[in-house]
Amino acid sequence: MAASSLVAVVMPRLSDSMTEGAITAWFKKEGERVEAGEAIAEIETDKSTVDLEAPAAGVLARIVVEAGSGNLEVGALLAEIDAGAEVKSAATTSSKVAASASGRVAAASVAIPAAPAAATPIHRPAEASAAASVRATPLARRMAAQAGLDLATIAATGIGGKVSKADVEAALGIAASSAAPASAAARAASPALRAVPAKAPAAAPSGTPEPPSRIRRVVAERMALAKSTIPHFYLAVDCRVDRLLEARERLKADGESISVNDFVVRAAALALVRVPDANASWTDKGIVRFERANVAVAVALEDGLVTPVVRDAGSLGLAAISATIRELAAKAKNGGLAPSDYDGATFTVSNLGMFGVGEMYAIVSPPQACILGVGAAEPRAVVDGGQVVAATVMTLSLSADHRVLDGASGARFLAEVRRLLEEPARMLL
Amino acid sequence: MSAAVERYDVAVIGGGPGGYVAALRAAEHGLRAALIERDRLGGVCANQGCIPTKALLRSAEVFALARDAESFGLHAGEVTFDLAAIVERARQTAARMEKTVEVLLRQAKVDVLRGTASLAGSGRVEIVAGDGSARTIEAAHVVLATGARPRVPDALRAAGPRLWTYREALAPPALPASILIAGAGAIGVEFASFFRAFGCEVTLVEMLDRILPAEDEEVSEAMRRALAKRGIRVVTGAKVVAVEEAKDGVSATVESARGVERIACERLLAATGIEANVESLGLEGTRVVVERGRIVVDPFLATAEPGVYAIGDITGPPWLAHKASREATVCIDRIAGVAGVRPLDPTLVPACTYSSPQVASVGLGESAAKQAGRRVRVGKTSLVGNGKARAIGDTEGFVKTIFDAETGELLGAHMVGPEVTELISTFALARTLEATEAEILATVFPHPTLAEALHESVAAAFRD
Repeated sequence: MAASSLVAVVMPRLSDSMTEGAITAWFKKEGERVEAGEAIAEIETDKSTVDLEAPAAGVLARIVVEAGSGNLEVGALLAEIDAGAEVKSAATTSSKVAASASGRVAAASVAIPAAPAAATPIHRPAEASAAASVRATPLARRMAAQAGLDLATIAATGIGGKVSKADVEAALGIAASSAAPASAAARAASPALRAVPAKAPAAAPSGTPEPPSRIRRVVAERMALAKSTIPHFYLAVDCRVDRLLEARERLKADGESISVNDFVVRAAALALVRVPDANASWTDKGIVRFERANVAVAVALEDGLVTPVVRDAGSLGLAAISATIRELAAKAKNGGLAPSDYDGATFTVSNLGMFGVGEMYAIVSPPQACILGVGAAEPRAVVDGGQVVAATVMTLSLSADHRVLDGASGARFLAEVRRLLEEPARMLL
Repeated sequence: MSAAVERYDVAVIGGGPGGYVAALRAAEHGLRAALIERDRLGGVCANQGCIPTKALLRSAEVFALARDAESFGLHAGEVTFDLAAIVERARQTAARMEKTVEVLLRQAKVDVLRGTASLAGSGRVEIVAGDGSARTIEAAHVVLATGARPRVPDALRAAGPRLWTYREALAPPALPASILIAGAGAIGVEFASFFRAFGCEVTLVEMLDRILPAEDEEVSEAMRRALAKRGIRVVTGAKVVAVEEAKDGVSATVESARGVERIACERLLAATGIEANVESLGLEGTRVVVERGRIVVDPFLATAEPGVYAIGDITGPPWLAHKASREATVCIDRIAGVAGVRPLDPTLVPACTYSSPQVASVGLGESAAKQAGRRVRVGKTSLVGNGKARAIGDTEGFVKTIFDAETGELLGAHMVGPEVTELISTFALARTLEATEAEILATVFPHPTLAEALHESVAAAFRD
């Protein structure tokens, strides 16, 4: 492109008194072909608005002054036309129509991309790398954390492929919160699909439905999922806990307040280390064995159940486990649990003993493979050396995912827990 | 009849902010587009609505400032005005906008056809020009964007030539000594503000129990006080049931729970809503459903008739130009096969009233949020404490934000005061981005600005 073929487009003197003008709009883009005399821009002076005509035919090589620029002196360089160039391929720069002059009108033009937008991915590919930071809106991120959901498992349909509030709600099975006014909802009804009005439903049992709290909704969703996808089997053992209760009394005398449940969590953690089959998870890609035993402890709140996690419980002493559980329970009751407090559990202990329940069979919490249900420690009649004697007995149950464990592994695990609880000194080994 | 029938990919009926944006968008996608307009390009927005009224209100604003010059240390003597010049400026602004739309359409190579269009079956559109000649075009997709017109209750019609709608009100030949404005939505309130600024006796009558009924209750209350302070008589829970011609004007019978009152005025402005232009479109015989005067569409603006779409005021509220324009984009992108087109979420559409003081809002009001069952946090900050508001001498107003107490979602923002119609976009952006209070609080707002009140409002919501 020879420099000498460049023709300058300057601000014309439209009247004797004119000293300056403004460019309000460019009709042509850089790279576009223009004919001599063709209107290529709109100029505004204090007296009038006129079209700027191209002084020569060629390609609009360079726009020097953007649309919306004012105070341009007569003779100021506005653009350059290459009178000798070939037509360039479709301009890549978006139209420079003034945004300032006509506010609303031009904004429409500026917003339009030169070519249809590339297809926005509707679903975020479900990568296994949970460590990668997931793109999500701040609101979605917080909602997922509150519900204990892993962002990476949620399909993203938000702007730019981010996980949005609607996506989190869909994952929770909540109908999109109807924040829109009723008229909009009516508008959204698709007339073509409108069915024949349904007959009035048969009289339903009376009672006003109460919208569930967020926690309850999450629990409901997860329990339904767990029960329908995990093949559960159940094992139970009765543990004689007299020695455990004595040990507990002795520690109390030392000023250490350890609960029976703390002992159970400690025993379960140790057993998980010794019988690793139970510290695993079924995934689409295969069985994952966890390195550490992160034991979740079920805490009942007024409006639902939460399960904060004691991390690496296998390497924590009894006192540390006790303190951690106490801290987590307090946090839970104040609604102060952070996502890190309930992420990453590999096993769960659920205790209903305080209610006097003898045996309980819990539901496995995916992606874990097992859950230990704990009943009340109560005096029962047992047979010892051919005699019926009174002892304090606590029933433990194991609910397990049969895809990951078979009966024998489950039994081995449960037997180990019982061994440790019946003789607490073994927990010192 | 012309011999060959022109074929288009998209034919848009109506050249307002819905229609012309649709036509431009279609052209951007490389679709062959036609736009049929029977009057002025730019529609009501450019010619009889948004644009000219904002120009008029600017004159009112400057007039008020000029008259208050002393408080800024200036001597302006007696400031007078020339109504014809004020009206002419608004007219010229409108004409400029009309021209700009024409230029944009020409640049995009959209065929602009003049005349009245109607559906003629199977993708055909019949166009009758001003001289009575008719032609037919064919289009794979027809977008109805015919907008709306003022709705005038029968009771008001008896005012005869004394009756104004916004069309007459924005080009008054003379200022009425007194004016009764029926309807206190955005249009009624804006005109009340305008006419009062130039000294007219203004009575604003609203059927519902508060003015600006679509806004948050606190906004309605603040505006009622603000307008009353300016000498506008505000009557709520009242309806004009009859009008009689009287000497130099009309006598309006206004009924309310308090009883019956007769109000005499020189002019009566009907600002009682609008009705969609759905007549004579040839909808009979098609599957297009019209309910309560509006065309029913799905979230992507398709009607029940395949190949026929409707956008803007003819589909219902919010009756706003930017809603029409966004619907145009959604509709055309979908037609063009763009993947991932998101329907318009009406709770993301801000609403503005350019009275003095201004009003702006986006999202849910406090009552609506609570009725939807959300536990909320509300923050309200008065502009009295805002440094910039003090410095410019206009502290009348507030910023109110409503958050979901559990998730921190910004549910709604409501403001009264100077320039709030500009400030609302910050909150509109926050809602689109699904920001929570954390992101807004983490943003540094420059000082001194009115915008700082946005930050302060959010902080107030999360204090304690």
